[in-house]
Amino acid sequence: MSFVNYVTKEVNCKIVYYGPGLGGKTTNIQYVYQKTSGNSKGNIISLNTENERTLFFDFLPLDLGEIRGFKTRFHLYTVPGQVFYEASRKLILRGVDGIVFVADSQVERMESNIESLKSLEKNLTEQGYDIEKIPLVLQWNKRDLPNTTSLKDLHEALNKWNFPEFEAVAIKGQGVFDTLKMISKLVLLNLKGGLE
Amino acid sequence: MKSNSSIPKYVETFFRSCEIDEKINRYSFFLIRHDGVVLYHNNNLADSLAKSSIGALLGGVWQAARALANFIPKEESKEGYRLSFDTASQGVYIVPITVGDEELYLGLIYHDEVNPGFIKNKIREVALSFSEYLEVELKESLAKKQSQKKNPASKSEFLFDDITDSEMDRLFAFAKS
Repeated sequence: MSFVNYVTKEVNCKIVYYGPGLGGKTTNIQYVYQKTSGNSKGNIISLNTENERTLFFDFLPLDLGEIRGFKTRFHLYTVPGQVFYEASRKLILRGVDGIVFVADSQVERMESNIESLKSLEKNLTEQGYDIEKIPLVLQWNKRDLPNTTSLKDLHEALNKWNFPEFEAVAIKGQGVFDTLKMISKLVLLNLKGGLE
Repeated sequence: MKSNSSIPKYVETFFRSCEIDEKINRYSFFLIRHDGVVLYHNNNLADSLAKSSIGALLGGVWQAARALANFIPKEESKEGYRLSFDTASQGVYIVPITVGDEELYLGLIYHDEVNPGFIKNKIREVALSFSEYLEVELKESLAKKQSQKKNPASKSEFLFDDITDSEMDRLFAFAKS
C-alpha cells in the first residue's frame, strides 16, 4: 500500500518482483543497485540460502528524487521463486503497489512461468487485489539465450490482460531500467492522495 | 487494511511532546507501519536510507513471526504478542500497536544493556501511551473525514494522475549510464 506522508512530503511505494525460481528477479534489483548513484540508494538486503537462492526477500530502497514537491521513495522487493516458499511470497505481497513479473524466456521454463503467474493471481485475490487493476509489468528475461519462446507465444500464454511487456537480458542490464521506469510510472499514476 | 494518512502528523506531535526514558533514547527505536515504512525513528545506527532497510527487516521479521504463530493451536489469550531476539545484553524487541484497523510496530535495537527487562518494559509503556493517544486523535480525524465526505471536493483523488514522460525521465536521471 503506497503511503503519502504529508508531514515530510514523502511518497513511499512498494514494488515486488515476482516470477519463477532462477528467472532473474534478484538479478534485476542487483543491476539497479549497481547502476544507481550512491546517494539515491540504500543497502541491498538479501536474505539468502547458503547457495545464494532467495530465502525470504531481497530489498532495495531507492530515492528517485522529487516530483511536484514530493520526495519519492520506492522499496523494491523480490520474492523467493522456488515453489515451496509460497507462504513467504504471500507475506511479501502484502501492501504491494506494483508488480514486475519476471518470466524466464527459455522454452523449458514455460510451465514454471505459468505456474508462478497462477500463484500470483491467486495470492493477489486472497489479499483482496484484482490482478486486472493493480499496476503490473511483464518482463521477458533471458532473451539472449538459445531456445527462447517467441514473444508472441509468451504474450499469448502469460499476458491475456495486455499489461506492458519488455524484453530483457537482466544480467547485462538490458530492459532492467525500462521495466522499472514503466512500473514506477504506473504506480505513481495510480497513487491516491488521501486526506491531508 | 486502510491507511490513515494523518498518522504521521500525530506521530510527530506525540514523540515531540512525550518524554522518552533516557535509557531508551540511548538506543535506536523505530515506529513502522505494517509494511515496513518508517514513521519515526531516533536512529543512532545508520543513515536515512539504511533506516528503510531496518524498517523493511523489522516489518518482515514481525510478519514472518506472526505467520508462524498462526500454527499455535487456537487458544484465547488476552495478551498480544511481542517479539524478542536477544542475548543477555543486546537484541531487537518489537511490540505491536493496534488502533482500529491500523497496525504499527515499535522496534527497539539495543546493546550493552545490563537490564534488558527494564527497557523492554519502558518500550511497552511508550507503545501503550502512543496507542491511547492515537485512538483519541483518530476518532477526531474520522469525524472530520465523514464531514468532508458529505461535501466531496472536486479535485482528483489521484496525486499524480497526469504525470508526463519527461517528469519520469527526470526521476530516473539517477541511473548511471
